Amino acid sequence: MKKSPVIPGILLALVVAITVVYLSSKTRQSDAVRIFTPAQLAPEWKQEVIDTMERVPKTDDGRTKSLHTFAYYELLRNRAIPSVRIKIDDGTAGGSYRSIPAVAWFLDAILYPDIANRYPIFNVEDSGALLQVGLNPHDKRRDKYAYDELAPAREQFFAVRTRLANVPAEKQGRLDVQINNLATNLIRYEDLINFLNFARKGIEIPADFADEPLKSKAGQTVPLSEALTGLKESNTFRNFLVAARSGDRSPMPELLQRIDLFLRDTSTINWYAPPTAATPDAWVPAGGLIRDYLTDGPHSAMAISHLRTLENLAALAGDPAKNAELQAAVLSMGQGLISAAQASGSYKKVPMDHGYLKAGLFSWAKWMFLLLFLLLAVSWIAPGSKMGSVLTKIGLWGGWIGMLLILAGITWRVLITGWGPVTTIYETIPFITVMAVVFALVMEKIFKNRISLIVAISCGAAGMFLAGRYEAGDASDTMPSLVAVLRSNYWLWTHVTTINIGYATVLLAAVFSMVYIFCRLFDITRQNKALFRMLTQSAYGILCFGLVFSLIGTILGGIWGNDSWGRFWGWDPKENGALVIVLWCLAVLHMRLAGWIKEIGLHLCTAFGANFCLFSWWHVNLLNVGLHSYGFTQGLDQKLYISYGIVTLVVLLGVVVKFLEGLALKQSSSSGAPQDEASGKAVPAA
Amino acid sequence: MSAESPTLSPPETPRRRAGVTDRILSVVGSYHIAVVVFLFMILLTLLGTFSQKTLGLYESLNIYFTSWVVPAEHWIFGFIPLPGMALLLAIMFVNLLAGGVLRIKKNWRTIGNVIAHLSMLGLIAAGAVSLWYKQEGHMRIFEGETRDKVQAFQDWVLEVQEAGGSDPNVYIIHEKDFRTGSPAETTTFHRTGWPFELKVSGYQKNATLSTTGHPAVLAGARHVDGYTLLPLPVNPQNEANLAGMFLDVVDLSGQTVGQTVMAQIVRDGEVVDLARRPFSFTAGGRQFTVNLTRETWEVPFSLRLDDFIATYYPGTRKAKEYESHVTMINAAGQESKFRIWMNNPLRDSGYVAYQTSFDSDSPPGQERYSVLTVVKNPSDQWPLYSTIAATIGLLITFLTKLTRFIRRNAVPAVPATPPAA
Repeated sequence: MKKSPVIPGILLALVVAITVVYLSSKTRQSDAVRIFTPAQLAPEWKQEVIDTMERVPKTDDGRTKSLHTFAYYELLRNRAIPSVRIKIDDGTAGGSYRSIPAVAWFLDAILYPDIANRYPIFNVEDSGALLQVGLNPHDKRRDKYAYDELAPAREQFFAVRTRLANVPAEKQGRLDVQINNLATNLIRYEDLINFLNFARKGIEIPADFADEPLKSKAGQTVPLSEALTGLKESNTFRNFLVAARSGDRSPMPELLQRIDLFLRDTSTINWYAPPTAATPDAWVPAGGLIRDYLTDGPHSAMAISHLRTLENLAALAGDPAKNAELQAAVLSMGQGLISAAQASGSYKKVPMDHGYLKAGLFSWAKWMFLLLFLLLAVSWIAPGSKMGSVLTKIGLWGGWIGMLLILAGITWRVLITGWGPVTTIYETIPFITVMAVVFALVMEKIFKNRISLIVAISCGAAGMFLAGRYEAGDASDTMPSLVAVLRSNYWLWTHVTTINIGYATVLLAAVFSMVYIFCRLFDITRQNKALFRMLTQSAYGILCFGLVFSLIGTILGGIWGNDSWGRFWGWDPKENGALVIVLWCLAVLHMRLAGWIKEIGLHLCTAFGANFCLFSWWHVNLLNVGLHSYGFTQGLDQKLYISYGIVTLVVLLGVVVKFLEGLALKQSSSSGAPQDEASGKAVPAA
Repeated sequence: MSAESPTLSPPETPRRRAGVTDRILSVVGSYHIAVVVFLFMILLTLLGTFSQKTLGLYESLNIYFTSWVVPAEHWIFGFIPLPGMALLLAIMFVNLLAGGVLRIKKNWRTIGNVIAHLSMLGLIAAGAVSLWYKQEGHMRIFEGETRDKVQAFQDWVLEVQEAGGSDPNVYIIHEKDFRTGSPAETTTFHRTGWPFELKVSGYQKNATLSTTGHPAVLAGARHVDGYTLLPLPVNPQNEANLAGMFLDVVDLSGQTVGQTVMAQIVRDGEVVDLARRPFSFTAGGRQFTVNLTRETWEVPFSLRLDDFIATYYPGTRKAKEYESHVTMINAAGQESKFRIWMNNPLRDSGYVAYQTSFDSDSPPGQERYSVLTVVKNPSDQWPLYSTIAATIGLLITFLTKLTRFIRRNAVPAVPATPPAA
């Protein structure tokens, strides 16, 4: 009797559904139960203000990006999702919720720090970390905390951070690492909330300041802009400047020391004034305005005007009655900064950068592939029916559309960065995914049997999920500025893409082989020799392509190394990883030629090749050794070993299947029963 | 009947020929040997990669990748021997030559394979030539300075020279000759014409000098002129290790005419004093100097650093680009100007100079020096030629197969899953 694919299909759909729910829950945690009253909330920002401020430029790690991108990753780093959602007790049953977009959170943090300090934005993976620094954690082991909950243990956080500074990463305890990460996040958050301290607090003129024009203000607190203009005109400052330029190392006048403190506060987030046309790379933080003004730097002429704008914002934020004015002032400031950046020619790619994150093409692709997977799983229930046929067509078209979504995302990134499609570990994920999907869809075009289609859809869904998880885990800009050695489009477009196509094809071959192993395990295709034939041809053919791309990519990498580091081959871990893939492909193909392996042997080996691919793709980056330091990453060891384990388990399953079939074959041979040609199993005599 | 379904085209069957040569080729060029070599290469590559975490690249290279046999202390479980990568590549070369070039059936269907195999032979040959003949070092040049000497990254040498005598040569004693298994061992060096013997003892791969107040000296360790040799943990980054040794000079009558301890004074990982080198002594009425240094050699040209330019990403100290503008002065005194920057080395006179590093401690715009890696490698461009050949060969092979495969499979759609029973 033929076995129906219904049960495995439903099982598979269930597994996927459970995985989706689980991964979604891991990605988006429930929000903290902290409840705000309307009076405790900052006024809601108008959409117009948010839209404008999102497009304001900011330079970060050497890249000019939108303020939205900056705020997005700051939030992602803290809480694993890029927005804040809080519950409001507004007197209605059950209360209401407010979603605070990333830029609105940024504005709240700089303008309303006391309120923002209560937002639950710090993700604590294990409450044990809080116990270690003497805090009382929430009931849940994994939860989100507000700054004002963590701040009492600030010193303890930084003590652990200092202690860990000299401890190798592999010897740091799990909780210690968490505490260290929290300390880093606290520092970055404090950079935000301290940014406008100068504007909120003003500056006290020393009581003994005796120079005009600030003499009459001695002992009083004045706005920084006023103190600066007064100081610059004073003899005290002029004399200090002359002495300093002649090499005198006398201490700064006290007023200047007080200003210097603000200079640091306002410089750490490295945001404010765009460059001028005359100084195209001179992005200046607010603190830089202070410095430029005092030293007649590039932004000297507009420094006081900028500082007054910020002081005005702080003053308006301090008066709830002036919210409308504040919104207008923020809007005006945002528009002014955008205009200035446009005038200097440094704004060109900011709208694209902003649009890229807002479009979320990779996320759309992920959900699309998941939906398609479920549809295809449903189509297995009645494969010959009209519904099954329609769902398959939807799957096929959807697969191409999903592929195009990823491709569009990659192209968008290429246009933003100006570099090849793969420059970081993160970028390998969508690229490898789209390549695997394309190859699988081409196989579907050739064989038209839906197996390649489901492989394509599965690869698309898995790849885009991995991309999302990696982005959330790494929580840093996925388009960082490139180190000098990588700044070669020629090599990025040749070596890097080729080697990643090699990864994609070797992994895809492994997936086809795993499908083969499962098919034999569930015996669902006992009567369908064409499927076995197709899976074998697919795995073999793709493996051959994998060899071509891996080999050429590896050698191209060697030639690049020869042009940049002075050696073709240095046995660097990254090079070795690529070599291992090439050697494994060669070994498998030659094992077949030598007659060591036949059909199932080929599949077992091809499936096992996924381990070598994982080693090369991920593991070598965890070693933190060698010249490919720009690819180093950490914290993925456990996940990687689980992946190795899963691949090996599937291969072992295949070995067991082969063994059991061998036993059955022996028994049937001894009993003289006829055998099935494909599986070797005994079949009942007609 | 086999349990496997015969879905793949059978491998190309080599033409059978009689004769001893053919049988030898058949064995030497067999797929079996190829597979075993591939598997051992994978194992060795994995072991060598993971070992870099603890041993560093240099040691891993010596143990796994440039050796003929892996040293016994690194065998699997301590008793399963391992071939070194050099041996495996040699076997692979012979196997490829015999099986993939000489024995393979040659026709239009296998031409791609033959080309690919030949390109791999070229690649292995390039590796061998590079391993044996490549010279590599670095040149640190300050702006305005001209240099014609290159210093090795790894290897230490003792340079012995007569000061002001008739022999202008500098005699080199390589590290491998004075690197002994135990610091207690003494190695003696003598050359015809030298009125002395050099005795090297207490060699340490990484060491610093310490004054005699150190507990080691108080505990009885040897010291010279108020200094003793203090071993430091060996750094996996071999370039960071600073060798140290005791040196005794004995004249031909057996009398000690000089002794010293040679190393750098290292504090907090920084070399703070080089005053112990070179060491001067008099023997047989002639004055000599001995210097412990990284191996240095001259190149047949000079490089003058005219300008060094580094640009940084805005608001960071992350270098975006850095480049050296140099003038190359050849033996005839002719000057040529070049720009060297990342991924764009200078190739001339059989040498290649790469932009490697620069003075990143100075403020932007005030960088004082550039560091160039200088390499002489006769097989410099062989991998490029091999790659082109390999690409052509593999594409011919797999595109031919793909075409045949698609033609063979141009059949109506086959449902993957049968209707439910």
